[in-house]
Amino acid sequence: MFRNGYSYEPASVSVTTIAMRRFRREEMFTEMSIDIADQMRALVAYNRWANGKVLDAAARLTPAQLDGSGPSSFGSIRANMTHLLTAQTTWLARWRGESGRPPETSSIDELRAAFAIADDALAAHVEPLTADDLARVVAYKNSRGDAQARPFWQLVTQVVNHGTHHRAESGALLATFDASPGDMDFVYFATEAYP
Amino acid sequence: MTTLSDQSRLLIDFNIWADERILDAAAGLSDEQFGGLRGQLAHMLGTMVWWHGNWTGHPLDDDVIRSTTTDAVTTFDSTRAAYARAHDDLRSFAAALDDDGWNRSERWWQRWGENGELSVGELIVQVVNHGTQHRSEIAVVLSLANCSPGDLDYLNFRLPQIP
Repeated sequence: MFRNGYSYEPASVSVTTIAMRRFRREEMFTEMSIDIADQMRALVAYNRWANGKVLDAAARLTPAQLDGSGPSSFGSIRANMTHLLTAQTTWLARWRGESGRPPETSSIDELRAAFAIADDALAAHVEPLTADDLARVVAYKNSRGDAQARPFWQLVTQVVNHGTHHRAESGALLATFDASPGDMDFVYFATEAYP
Repeated sequence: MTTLSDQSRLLIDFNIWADERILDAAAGLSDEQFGGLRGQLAHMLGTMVWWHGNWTGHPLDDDVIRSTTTDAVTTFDSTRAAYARAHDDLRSFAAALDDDGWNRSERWWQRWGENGELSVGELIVQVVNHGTQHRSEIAVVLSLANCSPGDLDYLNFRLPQIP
């Protein structure tokens, strides 16, 4: 249970579960006080929810549609989502002081399974953090090898905002195949997550 | 320690920076090309104006929203001016809030016939995340017209500010 009343309820003890973990607010707005750590956890939970919406919609496509080139940063829906998975995995590996990349995937089922692992790992990493932890400056090298340093909370924000950018492109492509993922607004996540 | 106020104000600054990058890029479009973006730009603007009205205790009716958004997004210059006003309002609102203010609950779902509340801090996330969603879609159109706004990552916004 978090200070603000959010609780984090794993659908399974397995970190590889594909089922979405849910936040719920048990005592809505009674003595609520959200700090930056709660905000980051909510962002990461939103990120998982939105990834799931895009992947659910993508599962309705044929492989040709999934790989078809369209107007987006990386061409196809699969390429966009693979980029997103790689970014999310790379950031988490940096925070852990590891080198890590997601597995190669050849089907939508494999992509979903890889996202489930990545989303679980991200949530598990952020879950115990305090506001002080998130203020800690993290040194890392970017993809060009340049030394960088940012407060941790800014990097979490980067991951989620980057995800929204590429999910939007994927969503637009999905809509051209009559497979829209639907609204992915934060408030709609809140509607589902805080019953 | 970083506070919710710090994070929320920075999100607003990011949102303004990213909007301005989009508008800078849109300056290179023909009138006809710009016309194709009016709907998206008015929608993004409307979101900021509508939420700001609610947070400041002045909820806007549909006529006022239309006059300050759709009707204002006619030419590039009028759009830029309307965005500048909305950005100034958001910044002024954010500057006056402390952490208790960001935690203040706001009823919002009633507009859609549902019952629920979120804090102002969470609703700022909604505004900025919503902006990122639509800026992404607009950026695709701009890129197809050879007017890419460039990277709109949160870290691109922060990079110039940290030595």
